Amino acid sequence: MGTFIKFFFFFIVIFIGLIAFVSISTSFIERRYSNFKIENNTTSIVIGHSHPECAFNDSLIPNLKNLSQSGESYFYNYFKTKRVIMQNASINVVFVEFTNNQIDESMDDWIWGDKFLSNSYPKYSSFMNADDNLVLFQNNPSAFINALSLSLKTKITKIFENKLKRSHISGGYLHLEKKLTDSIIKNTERLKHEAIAAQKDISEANLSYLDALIEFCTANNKRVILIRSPQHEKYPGYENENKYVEILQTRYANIEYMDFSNFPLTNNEYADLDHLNYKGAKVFSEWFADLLSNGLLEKKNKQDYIDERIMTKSLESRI
Amino acid sequence: MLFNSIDFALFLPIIFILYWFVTNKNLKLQNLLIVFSSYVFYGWWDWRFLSLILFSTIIDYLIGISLTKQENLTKRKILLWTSIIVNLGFLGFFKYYNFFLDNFINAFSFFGNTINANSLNIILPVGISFYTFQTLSYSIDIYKRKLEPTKDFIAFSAFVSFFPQLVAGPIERASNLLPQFYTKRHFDYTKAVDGIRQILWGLFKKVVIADNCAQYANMIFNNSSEYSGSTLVMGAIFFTFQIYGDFSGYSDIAIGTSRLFGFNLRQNFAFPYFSRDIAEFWRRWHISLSTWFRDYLYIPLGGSRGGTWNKIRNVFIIFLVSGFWHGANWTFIIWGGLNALYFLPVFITNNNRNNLNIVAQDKYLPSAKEFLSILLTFALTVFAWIFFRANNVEHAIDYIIGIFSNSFFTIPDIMPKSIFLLLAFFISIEWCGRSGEHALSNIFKIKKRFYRWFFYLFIFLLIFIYQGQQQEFIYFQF
Repeated sequence: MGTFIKFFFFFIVIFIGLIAFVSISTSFIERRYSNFKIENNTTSIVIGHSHPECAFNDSLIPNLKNLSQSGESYFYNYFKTKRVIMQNASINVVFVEFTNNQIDESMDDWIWGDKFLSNSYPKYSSFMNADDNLVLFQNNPSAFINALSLSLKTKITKIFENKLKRSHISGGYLHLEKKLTDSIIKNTERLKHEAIAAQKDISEANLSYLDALIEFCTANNKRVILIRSPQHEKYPGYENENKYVEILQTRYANIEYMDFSNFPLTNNEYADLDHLNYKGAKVFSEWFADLLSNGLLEKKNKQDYIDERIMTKSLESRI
Repeated sequence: MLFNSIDFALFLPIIFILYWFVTNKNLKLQNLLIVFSSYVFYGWWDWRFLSLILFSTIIDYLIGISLTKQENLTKRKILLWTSIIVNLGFLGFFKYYNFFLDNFINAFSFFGNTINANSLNIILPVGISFYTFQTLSYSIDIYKRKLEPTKDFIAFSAFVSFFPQLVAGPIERASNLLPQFYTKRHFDYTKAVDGIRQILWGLFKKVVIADNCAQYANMIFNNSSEYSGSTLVMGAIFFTFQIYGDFSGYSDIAIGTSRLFGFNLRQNFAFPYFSRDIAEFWRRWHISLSTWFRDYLYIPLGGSRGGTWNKIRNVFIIFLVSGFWHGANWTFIIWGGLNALYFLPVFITNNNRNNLNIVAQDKYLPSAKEFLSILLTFALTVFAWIFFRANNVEHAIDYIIGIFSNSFFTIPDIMPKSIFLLLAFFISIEWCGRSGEHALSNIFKIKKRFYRWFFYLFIFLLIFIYQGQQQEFIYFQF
């Protein structure tokens, strides 16, 4: 019995060692050949989840690249931004979406929830350190083991199929055709209740990676600007507005911020209450490009300028 | 609790330690631990159905004791029928109630009569088809005076609920398993190591082969109208490997786990896809069920005695019942019928016992004739599995029509290279190990531990890296 148990544990230890070796060596190879290069003329990037992904049509905004990705929390945004900045010296400005749902506790699920982990971990596991892995393992061990296995499979396949040099960048402008229907607006009361019920606390884990992202950009002399993309006035996420403002004015008081949430759009220009469809994205992106060409980033009081331009736009729309 | 879950990975070592280090001095305590752990194992899925197992255990235990005391034939028959009615009654209610009701209503509507009856929302208790057959065989064997009943209720409970094989077999006979609960078990290093090997191979079959094939089989079967004929063939082949990997993988884990606790369960799959004819296939596929039907249905019906028509009738009955055992759906019955049709030619011409030995024994490769026979048997099996997997009979027919279309000769739309490589590895290992109890049982012939361990590590690594999306064991639903 003793021999059996001894050999069994010895075998398990060797196996864990082997997994660690394969994982570390494939991560090393992937890091070495990773390709996060974007167009040379890009001077600014947009990082975030589906809100900016659907709002910034980067084909209409000169020198800007939208790298936002649906369902991606700051945890994963951080690794992507880091690599993109390291491989693209031309980038000066990093626009980071900072909206109501990104402070919410539900973001924890976007970091280590089964679905999100298996989707995002294989993309960025090679760029994570032991502490990052520990965060995931501690919060969802079984999903982490599954994601680790999936990530090894992905990396080994990439190595054997010689696909390491392909672009690692995921995300980009998302063209949505659908229109906000009245039925969604009618359901806003229900959505509000759901939003209130869902909001319990803030996601410290998610915000700590936003802090890390800001810190990394600042250390590399990149300008970080927090932004809030246009949202429908009935967007249920507004329920935590007080908490949102409080975090903005305390934790991120020294970070530049631009709020476009009040940008005037019709229901036909929304895909749903928090995403613009292609029509809305066109209107907003052209307007944003105009703002940039008029020196928005050099203005002393940017938000006043934005509000003023939003007001003008609203008046124009009414006419 | 699933064998391929973290829960089980924690559960097994705990029970193993308690079994060999805490309760090892007392046989009753060890058996009690098995009963307790088996109930935890089953209750993890749904504790409410534990009462069914307990009830079935009590009934058959009492009937067993009464049968020995009773000499009056009529009363003995009554006792036997009580066991049959109780066990099959549970099975019938939970598994077949809605099927019979729906078909009854359909039959009446066909003749222009309308009946208003509502189907019940019944949850099928996991493993009910397995443990009811196990307890039923106990009562029948005692009735036939082939077995002495046990007075040890704990040992009997452990026999009925033994967790490794409780939910998906192998269906053990009391004559084989029950006596093992009476005698003190001693830890046997060789047996335990072989048990671990079998668990490893079972996990590989389930997690790598079955779960990966399942993704493609599901994709193709669920959207069959969108795919070419050749892709539909691929879908059927993927399902063929899925069901084998799934079910024989479960059996391997069950048998291997039992060996860790000092028990020997019977082989349930003996490399069926290397069979040279359909009779050999059925001697090698789900052996515990086939032999159950042979001993408790086919032989009592007359077996191969009597005239040709009797033989044909008996063959059809056993295959149709076997199909129906798998599920309350006409697809399973047709699958059974199709296998009966495959079986009849070899049976009537007395060629059903031609291939009793291991294919290409002591050779590396089969002869051309053997290879073609294997391929033909495999093709027939693949075809029959279409009915088994299809959602309903119409779906199966549409699927088959889709196969035999012009697009049959095109290149399949789905050709996952990595799955093909894994299947090639899997078939090679099964081929090399076909003379053993399981594919890895001959690996000990490699004298150097280093090479053996290297091989185990490689399989472990494949399991870890190539695990498919976790799917429940198919046979849980039966």
